Amino acid sequence: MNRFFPWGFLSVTALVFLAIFVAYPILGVLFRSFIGENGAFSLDGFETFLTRGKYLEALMNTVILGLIVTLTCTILGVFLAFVVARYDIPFANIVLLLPLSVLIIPELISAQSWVMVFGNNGLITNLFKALGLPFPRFYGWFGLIYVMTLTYYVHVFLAALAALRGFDHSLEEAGQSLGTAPFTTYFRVVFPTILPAVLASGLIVFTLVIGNFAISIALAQRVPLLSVMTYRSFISELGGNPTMQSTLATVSILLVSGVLFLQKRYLSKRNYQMVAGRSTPRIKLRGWKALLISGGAGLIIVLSLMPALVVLMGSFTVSRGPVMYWGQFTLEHYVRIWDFNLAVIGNSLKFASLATGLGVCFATLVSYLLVKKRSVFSPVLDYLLLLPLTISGTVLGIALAQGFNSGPIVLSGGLLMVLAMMVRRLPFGVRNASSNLHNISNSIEEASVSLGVPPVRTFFNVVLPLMAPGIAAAAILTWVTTVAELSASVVIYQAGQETLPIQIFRLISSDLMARASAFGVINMFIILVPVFFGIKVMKVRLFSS
Amino acid sequence: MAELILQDIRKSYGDTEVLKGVSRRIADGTFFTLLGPSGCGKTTLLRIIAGFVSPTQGTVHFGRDDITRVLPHERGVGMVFQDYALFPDKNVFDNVAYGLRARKLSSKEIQRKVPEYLEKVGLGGLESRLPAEMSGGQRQRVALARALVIEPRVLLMDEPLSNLDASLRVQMRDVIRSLQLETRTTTIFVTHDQEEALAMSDEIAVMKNGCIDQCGAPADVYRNPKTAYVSRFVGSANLIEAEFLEHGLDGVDRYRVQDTLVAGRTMEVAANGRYLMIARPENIKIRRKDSDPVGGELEGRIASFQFQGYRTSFHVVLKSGEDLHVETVGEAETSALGRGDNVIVSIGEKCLFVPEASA
Ligand SMILES: Nc1ncnc2c1ncn2[C@@H]1O[C@H](COP(=O)(O)OP(=O)(O)OP(=O)(O)O)[C@@H](O)[C@H]1O
Ligand SMILES: [Mg+2]
Repeated sequence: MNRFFPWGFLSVTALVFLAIFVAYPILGVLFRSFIGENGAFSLDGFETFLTRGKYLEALMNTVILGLIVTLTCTILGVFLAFVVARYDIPFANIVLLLPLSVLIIPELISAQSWVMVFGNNGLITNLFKALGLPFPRFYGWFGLIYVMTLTYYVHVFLAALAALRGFDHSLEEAGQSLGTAPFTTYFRVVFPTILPAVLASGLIVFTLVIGNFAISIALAQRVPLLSVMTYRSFISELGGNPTMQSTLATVSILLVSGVLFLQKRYLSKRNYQMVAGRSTPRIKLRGWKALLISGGAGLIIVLSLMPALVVLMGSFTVSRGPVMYWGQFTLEHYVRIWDFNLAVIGNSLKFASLATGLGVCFATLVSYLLVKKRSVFSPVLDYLLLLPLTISGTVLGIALAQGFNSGPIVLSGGLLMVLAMMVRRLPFGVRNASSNLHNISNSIEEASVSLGVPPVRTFFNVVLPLMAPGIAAAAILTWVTTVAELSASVVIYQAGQETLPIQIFRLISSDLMARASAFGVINMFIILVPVFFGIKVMKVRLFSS
Repeated sequence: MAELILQDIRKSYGDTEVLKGVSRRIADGTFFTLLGPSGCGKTTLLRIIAGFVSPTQGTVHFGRDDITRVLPHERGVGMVFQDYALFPDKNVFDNVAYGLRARKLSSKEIQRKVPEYLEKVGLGGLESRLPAEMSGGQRQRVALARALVIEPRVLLMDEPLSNLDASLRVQMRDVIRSLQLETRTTTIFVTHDQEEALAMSDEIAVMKNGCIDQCGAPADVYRNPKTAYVSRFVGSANLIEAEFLEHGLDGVDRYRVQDTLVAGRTMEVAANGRYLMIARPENIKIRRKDSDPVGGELEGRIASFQFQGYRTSFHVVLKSGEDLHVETVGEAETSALGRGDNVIVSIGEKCLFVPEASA
């Protein structure tokens, strides 16, 4: 009787896959950072890193940017969550669109749209110029903080809102009855209880910022940042000595793993369990307070959704080189895409659907193995699945490119593109796919087997239909991220493999904003269709956690 | 349908042996109940028969077929689970038809058989309901129909009634038992409810720490427990230390129990000579103290009592300080007894003696 087959066999297969395509390239990067010019062990890379001012400066800047954006996101996210949870504001329904906006508007497009507003040839910049007023430089710190805050605060907002909604109002009343004033009650009672959720989401924001590539490269300009520097070192050293790019990548891996370690270490211990109690009654506001609070919240919402609008407008606007003629409309940019760039759309669709298909199958299988068929391999699988979280897209791209350009396994660019897109999303896909699995009792499978259906067919007959909602969520979210993927693919792609984000990135670099906008609109459309279909038709719950 | 033969089944997890050599021949058509406290290995034994756990040693036969190494889905056993284990996304019809479809029956036959079995469990006409739209009792009936419709060689049930409330449980006992009698399916039923076991079974196996302590018809196990453990687990029993005095000619031996002499059957000889007397509460007579106790009688005082209609249950504290549980049925003279009364209890002749080590 072979009890090892097929689950043990499949576990080993998954393990081997992750070992080859995740662990091996990442270990390769770490390893190569200790190899000098002559191929022997050396700490040259780290010495250069620590002694050349620009590298340390980039590290410092990255960390400082991470801290600042985490802070601003926390303020913005918590404020908006409080307003939505506590006050009866007129546009509460639009607020629910916010998490969607993050899905639909890729970071790159968000950065691009703000450049179109505040950049060198921006709408507002030109307006100020026309009025003869000086306009502050948007590129650099201000632009980075501004765009990243508007892109990432939603993570804190959602976490804080969920925590506040689960917050028992009677606790708050208990605090008040002790004789403290309402405001201090809030501070003393409510805030500490939602703090773990806020901290956890803040750490996520921090890792997103330090790993960020798209916004950084579009806006950093003269501010050296680790991710941009890593990318540049890869581009310029292509084919040369990989020590420095490996060293930079290693530093980035260590930074993110450190943060993840802190999160595991300190946050998992402070897990407040809140029994769903009475939710706080909404307060109706009057007078100037109403104006201030709903105005503030409204502004945040408008600014979050604006990039989609700006890009849509820009894509129909007449332009000559970098100059946009706002108010004059044309279909020229779309016609150009139709005539010359359909292949780009094809590439995006091809790579993303392959990555989504493979990724979802893999995530479904692995989540089943991890939840239902635990074996000696499971803990190793658990750990390997954490690995993609510790690396930014740029580093993953470099790891894959370095790992599979030469050596025992050589893969073609197209395959690497698919692999990169798939691997980045894997940990989340597994989490989505296993969301229903814990509620499926083992006896259901045993019932099916005892009725005469072999284990593998039982999985397809009985388990898979019950996993379907989680799998659908995994599929949609994987699609959304792979279609928008830039940081890893821009490192890997070869001529003829340009995807929409890569094309947008190149056009932005050449300051051709109108044409980039047309690609951006198509990109958002490709993202939006399955999201819309999933939510409206299949009733998939994307944000259940 | 078949005879089920278990031969020296052992199962170890690491160093702990959870089944320590279970052997039993269960005749075709028997309703066989595994009764025992939590953790004694009932589920493990059942899952070995189903094939979900492989025994460390020993064999399982259905009739002449050795199925020890046969895969679970090829064994043709029906299973009913504590949590019903219905497929939540399939309606009642599809749940019951599931095993038939796996057997590639024609759809005509499926259309005939499914309603037939739903009728048998009293659910005719509910074919299109989803499990979520049914009560616990109804769900368990669907599970029963689903297991029986494939005409299994053996039907296995692991505490199928423990999720139901008390009155439903009694009702479902009848449903299960009468279906089993109708189909004559060899059935292994796991429970730790002795009343259930006594009411439903042809045969009971009382398990303890991975072994079957005693096996037999319910009445036999109740009347003739071979160990103190079985006497306590099946029905309730007073256990009092006894000292062996002499053999009687008619198989009724004499013992000293506290300061009186009692006669009764010795179920098994104790190697160390230390015995326990088993006295069922309903076999003990109680009366107001009117004289000094004679042979077979002990003196005590009523610590508390409960009037329960047709019977009354007394908690008596003997002079020696030991507790005694006594039950009387509708006797006029005992109804006058009350708390604090001094009483004489007479042990009678139906008591049994077992080695103390068997407790
Ligand atoms: N997979 C396993 N690994 C290790 N020990 C196990 C495993 N399954 C069961 N056991 C142990 O075997 C013993 C018997 O378990 P089993 O489930 O058969 O008990 P049971 O009689 O069904 O109890 P209950 O009435 O609580 O259901 C228990 O001590 C249990 O801890
Ligand atoms: Mg059990």
